Parts: sequence; structure tokens; C-alpha cells
Amino acid sequence: MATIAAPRVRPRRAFDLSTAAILLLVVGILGLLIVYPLSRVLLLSFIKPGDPVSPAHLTLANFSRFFTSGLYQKALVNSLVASGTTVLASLVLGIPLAYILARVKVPFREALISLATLPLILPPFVGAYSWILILGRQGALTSLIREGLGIHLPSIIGPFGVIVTMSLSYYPFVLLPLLGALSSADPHVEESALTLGASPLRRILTITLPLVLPTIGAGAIIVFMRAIGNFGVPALLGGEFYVLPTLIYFEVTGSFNLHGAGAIALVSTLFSIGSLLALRYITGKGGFVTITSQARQMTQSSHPAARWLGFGFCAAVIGISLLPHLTVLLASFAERWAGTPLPTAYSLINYRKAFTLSMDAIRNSLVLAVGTTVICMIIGSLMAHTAARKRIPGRWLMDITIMLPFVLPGIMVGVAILVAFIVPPFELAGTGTILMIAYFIRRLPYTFRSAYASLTQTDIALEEASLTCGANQSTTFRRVTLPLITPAVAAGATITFATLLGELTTTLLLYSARWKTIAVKIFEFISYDQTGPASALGALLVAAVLVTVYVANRLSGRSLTSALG
Amino acid sequence: MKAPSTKLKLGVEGVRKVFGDGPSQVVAADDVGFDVRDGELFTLLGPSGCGKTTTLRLVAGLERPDAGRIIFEGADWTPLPPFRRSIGMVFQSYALFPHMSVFENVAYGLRVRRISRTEVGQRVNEALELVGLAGTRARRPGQLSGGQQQRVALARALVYHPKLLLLDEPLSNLDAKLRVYMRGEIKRIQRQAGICAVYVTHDQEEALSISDRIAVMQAGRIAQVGTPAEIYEQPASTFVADFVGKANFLECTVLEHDGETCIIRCGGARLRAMAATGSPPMPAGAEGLLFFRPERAVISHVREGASGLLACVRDIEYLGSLVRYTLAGEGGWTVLVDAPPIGGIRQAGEEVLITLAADHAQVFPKGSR
Repeated sequence: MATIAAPRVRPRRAFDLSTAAILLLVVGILGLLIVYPLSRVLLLSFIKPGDPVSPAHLTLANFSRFFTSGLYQKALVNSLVASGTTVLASLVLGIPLAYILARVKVPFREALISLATLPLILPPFVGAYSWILILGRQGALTSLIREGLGIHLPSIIGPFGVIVTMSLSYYPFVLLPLLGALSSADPHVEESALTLGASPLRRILTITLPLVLPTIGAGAIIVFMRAIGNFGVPALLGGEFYVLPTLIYFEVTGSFNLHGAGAIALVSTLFSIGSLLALRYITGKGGFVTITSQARQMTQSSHPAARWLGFGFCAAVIGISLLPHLTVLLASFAERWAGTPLPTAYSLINYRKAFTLSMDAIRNSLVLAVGTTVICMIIGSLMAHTAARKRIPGRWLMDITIMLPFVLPGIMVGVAILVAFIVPPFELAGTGTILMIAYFIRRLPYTFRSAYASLTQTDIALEEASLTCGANQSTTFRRVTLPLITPAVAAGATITFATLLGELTTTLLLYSARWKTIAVKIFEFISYDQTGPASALGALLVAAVLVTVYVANRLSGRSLTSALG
Repeated sequence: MKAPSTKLKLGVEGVRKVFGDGPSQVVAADDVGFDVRDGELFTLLGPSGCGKTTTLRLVAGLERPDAGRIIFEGADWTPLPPFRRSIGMVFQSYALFPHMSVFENVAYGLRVRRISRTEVGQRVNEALELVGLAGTRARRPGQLSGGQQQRVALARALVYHPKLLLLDEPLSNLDAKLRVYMRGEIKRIQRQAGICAVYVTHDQEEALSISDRIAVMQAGRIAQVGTPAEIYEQPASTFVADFVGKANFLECTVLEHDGETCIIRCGGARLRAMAATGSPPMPAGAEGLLFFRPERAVISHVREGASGLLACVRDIEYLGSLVRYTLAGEGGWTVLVDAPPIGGIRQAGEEVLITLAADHAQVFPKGSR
């Protein structure tokens, strides 16, 4: 007689299956596209070029050049000096701007703040080369200042130009968070300092600044990380002033020494990770929590002199930081512009040239940016949902992996993707796919983080309410979760798209003749001294970025740049 | 309109739920079991962290039990996800979908059930009328007051005629006056819909007023199940006595015990009291705790030969409908006694006699909780 087994109570994990599938997808994507390339570049940097890749051949030879080669040493020192100075300059620009915008009723305040976020979205290398148009040997201002004041400015080619350009691109990283902190600070704290008899200056130095010091520190570290990883600006303005990213570029394109490039990238990454740890230390300490009893706005000074002086200062700094992009616009319509303050003849010839020579590049940029943005939106929101809503072990590992390509220098990611995917079984060298992989992993954090933040701010009971109303998991995600996080995902996607249109750093390492993009084309035009078509393409790029951000802002009715931080 | 019957609907059987692991492990529900009858409003009552919300979420299927079963109308619900259980749930935060209008919120459960468009319109309107919100269909949840949001949440949970209604602290975000009004409304709507309901609250007054039966929970376990009167009048433990309503406890010694009532010595007096329901028999000489409600005791002038507790008025709190006296006796004990302010208010320092009817006083074994 057959025995009948007692029915085991085994919960049917019907709706955990999707979790498992998504988790598998997440782990697969992160493992293949992030962990594998980064481990491979790490491994290669410890193996001599030409040696087989095996543990027996591990060596520090690739790093020894930091001790033997003057070029390497100089590049390292230059990187640190340029990044450090950029940090200082960003603080000098950002702190007073933030204080004025927070505490003075500056006319056109909202417009100024919007304009101040633009340098973060606009491609810095477009700004970089337009400084040549302004302050180069033939530049518009150079001649004006030389002839008008008799002053010879230092050459824009070299450390001066690199630092000026990076500072004017990155100061919003100090300005924007600090502005937030100063505006949301509890006014009672400062008022109590006043009642205790502190003078205004003393109050700023002993109360206001110490309270926001962690915010300033965090901003400074982000500037440092961005600056030490920047390739476009030193590539265009550096001249003989080599920094680590440009050195990597020459190792790759000059001698195709991926092992050496990996070693330099690793050293540069160590600085990034070091500053990231510092950032975590600073923000982890949380700064100071002031307990706000009621939401009361910080009182703003409305003295006319303060208002207009403040406006003058803000408009000057923000205006100068956007001057290069305006110059590009002007230069794009200029038929002749050399050694004079303004162009001497205008026409559309630059656009005609640019279009006939770069239709393919424009198409490529659009295809790559749109494709990557769509993939980022889908994968980013799925991953954010998994991270925010599922109790899964090792979630922190997932967070770190996603954020890794975000904090690593772009050129490091480029080298990693190169060494991982040009070899069998992938053999993706020069394809659109390898560019999209690089774009995807570098930009995924934008959609991931905005979706994640929006999910954590959304009451989980909303999804539970949908489940109890009879909607299954996928209906709930489609009808409740997705509509709620769409504005945030759209914000992340806009930034992704806008910054991918002009992506230069990783593209330059990975592109091929078939897959030139707008940024590559501009870079080429500049290299061949074709400033006209370069300006036309640059102007198009700037316009496209601005239109994208403006339209998305209007559609969602809120500031998209919140997705940047 | 349907009055509760004795037909069993929901059975919660030996349910256990543990959160976290290792040293941070919390047993949120431990061997929780109760039945809910057809048409009944059943309340889980307890202090925060007692496991009442966890138990409700287990019934909803939002959490999965580590042990035990959830049975509904004879079917095992334990493995089913929430959307396969026929439930309607009202959340503490209401959880109205902010991106949908009031109409769309209420229609949601019908739409996912693929009900035809005309029927959706008709049933949503009926549900909104039932909760008295017919005029707000086009508005967004953000434009409604707390009480209105509460009604929308209720309409959304009822519109598709679920078999079980779950309410998680639905009134805790309303102000005191509205809370009292809305609890009457919830009771009326639940009765009118003829649906059995499980209601979670930490507010004992709310629980007493709204429930057909109550389960008092303590530290993940059920301390007592009973009607509001049973819970209030015959609490099964000092915890229940203390948590539901105001309670006086006095140390006493058991002199005689005949199963139902006992004779005790307390504060120098010899008193008769009920033995607490469900407590083990107490031998003569055992230490006990005398329990009574402040409004069940009577105070009077000290008379020769009357049996009662002698005390002195220490404090007087005038509450309008009654006066609350803090009375202190010899040996350092104090009790609260509520009395209507009829025939004058007693003065501080006045000597009074506290008398207790035997069926309004209970003796718990000492050390039980």
C-alpha cells in the first residue's frame, strides 16, 4: 500500500519569483558590466605588457614608472596641484555666492540659481576651448586687455587655463548644497547668537560657518574628485601640462599600453576613493542637527545696497562662468574672428561646414544617448525598486557597485571597459555597443539614485494598499509605483541624456571611425584648428542640452538639477 | 444591515512572526490565535509594539507567518499573496494614491478586477454615498481634510465587496472630536456592508466603544479575548486590567477561597471579592492583588461597624462629570475613586470609608501579569 505523504505547508512564493528574476538580472548586469571590467583592469595593471595573465606574473613594474619617469611624476604632481587649486577657487567662488543668495533678497534670485546650475550640465570641454577664443593668443579679451591696459595675461594654454576652466565648471558643487543648507538652517540659532551679544561678523565665523562646514567639505571633495578625473579640459588647454587622465590617454592611443594605462588609472582612482572615504567620514558624522520647532524662513536682508551689490557679484561670477558657452554661440556665427573683440564678419558657413562633415556624428550621438537613456531608465528604476523595497542580503554591496563607476574617473572606466570587452568572447572594439556599455554604467547612478530617493520618500503603504485592493505585483508597479516615481526617473533621465550628448572622456578611448560622436568631432575640429565648425557643433550641443533641460523642467514642473547632487 | 452571527469566518491559528535575526531578533507575534465571526467587528488592542499591526498584516498577507495558519471560510489563506485574498484594508496613513482623483482611488479595486466601465461608475458612486462623500469625486486626495481622506480610504476598501475588512489604526491621525465621530461612522458603515472586520487600535476607549469582541495583546501574545464588557469587567490579568481603563491594585492576603469568590484581608479590613477568571486556585494564606475600577467603589463617611477600607482624602481632581479622589490608607497604599459630585465634594484630609461590592472587586494571584 502506498503511503500518502502529508501535504507539506509550503508557501507558494508566487510573487517572490519576480524578485528572484530581477535580482538575478541585477547581479548579472553589475557583475558583467562593472565588477568584471574593473577587476580586469586591476589585474592587468599588475602584469607587464606582453606577459600572460596569470598569478605567477604579478608584478609592480607598471607602477615603478611613478618613481623612475619624470613625466609620470610631473603628471601626478600636476593633477594634485590643479585639482587642489580648483577646489580652493571653487570655495572662493561658491561660498560667498551661496551666502549672498541665501541671506540677501537678490533681484532675479531664482533665475540666477538656475543659471548657476548650468555649468554642471554643459560639457566642460566646450567651455574649455572657447576660453581659447576669449583668452587665447588671438583671443577677444587678450587683445582688448593687451591694447587697452598694456597687460600681458598668462597663457591660457597650461595650468592657468585648466584651473580657471575647471573652477568655473565645478563651483556649483560647492554653491548649490551650501545654498540649501544656509536656506534651511534654523534662524533661531543665529538669533540667539545675536541676543548673546555677538557681532554680525563674529556670528558668521562662530555660528553660521561652523554649522555648514560639513556641507562645504562635502562639496569641496566632490570638486576634487571631478577635477582629478577630468580629461577634456587638460586635453584641450593643458598643452605641455600633463595630468593623470591625459597621460592615460597617451598610453592608450599612443602606445596602446593598456597595462600601463591601468596602473595610472589605479593611482588616480586611489585619490578618488581616498576623497570619497573622506566624504563619507564628513557626511557620516552628519554635521550638526539643529532641531527646528517650526518652519520659519531665514530672514533675508532687503537693504537696496545689499540687494544690488549682491546681484552684481552673483551676476558677474555666474556670467563669467557661462561666458565661454555664449562665446561659442557667437563664434559659431562668425566668419572671421581673430585678434578683435568681436567678429568682423557673420555667416552660417560654420554650420554648413559642420553639418556636411558631421551628420553621422550627430546621428551617432543621438542614437547612443537616447538608447542608453532608455536602458538606464528601465534598469535604474528596477534596481532602485529592488534596493528600496526588497529585504535582500548584501544590499549595500549593490549600492556600492552601482555608484562605483560614478565616483571613479571616467577615463578609468573607459580603460576598464576597453580591456574587458575588446578581447574574446566579446570583441566589441569600436562598436556602438561598447560605447553604450560605458555610457550605461557611468550614467546608471543618475536614474538609480533619483528613483531610489523618490521610492524611499514614497509611503510603502501605497503599494500595500494596491496589493490589498487586489492588484498583483506587476500591476501595482505599473499603476502605482511607476507613476509616483516617474518625475524623479524623468529628471535622472534628462540629466543622463543631456550629459551623454557631449560625453568626451570615455568616448575618446572607445570610439571608432564608424562611431564618431559630436564630442569627438568637436575634438577633431579643434585639433585641426577648425574653430568655426567646432563652434557651430559646440553651439548646437549647448543648445540641445539647454532645450532638453528646459523642456523637461517645464514638463515636470520642478528643478531637474536636483538629480545631479 | 446584519448583526454578528456565530458563524466562523476568519481563523488565525498559532501564528508566529519573527523579524530580524541574531541578537536583534524581535518576536512580533507569538502563537497568536483567534476567530472572527460573520459580520463581527473584532479589535486587536494593545500598546505599541505588542504585535497587533503585525498580526493584521499577517491576515492581510503583507507579511508571511513563520508558523501557523490563516484560515478564511475554510480555505487556507496562508500561502496566498494579498491580491488573492478577498480583503479591503484601511491604512493608518490612509495610503490614498496621490496621483489619482478620489473617483480613481475608489475605482482602483474595481478596475484591477476588470469590471465594466458603467458598473465601475455606479459602484464608486454608491461607495462614495455610503461614506457621505458624493461631492468630492473629482478632487485629489491632497485637497481633502483628514476625515474626508479617511472616508475615501474606507470607500476604496469596500467598493469591490471584499469578504474581510482590515483597519490599521484608522483614526489615529484625526483630532479627538472627529475620532469619536468617525468611530461611530466606521461601525455604521461596517454594519451596513455586513462585512466582518478586524480593527487595530491602541486606544482602549475606542476599542470598547466600537468592537463586538476584543483581543488584548501584550508582547506578541494574546492576553485575553472577550466582549468589551468582559474585557473591562473581568480582565484576565493585571496587564489587561491596567491597560483597559483605570485600575486600582492593593496587596491582600487570601483567607478563604471557594472557587468563585474569596474572602481576603486588605488594608486592615476583611472583604469579599471575586477570584479573577482563569487564575489558578489560591490557597488560604496566599498573597494576592485586589483589583477594582475607580468608579465601582463607593466612598462614604466613616461609620462604626461598616466593613470597608479606611482612607484619607489626599488629592481632589474635579473633572466636571465626576470627581476623582486620590485616597491614601495606612501602610502607604493609594487608590483612585471616582464619584459624581452629588451632595458635595469631600475635602482634602477628610477620613472616608471605601466600600466595594464583591462582584466589582477581583483578586489576582500576586506576581501574575
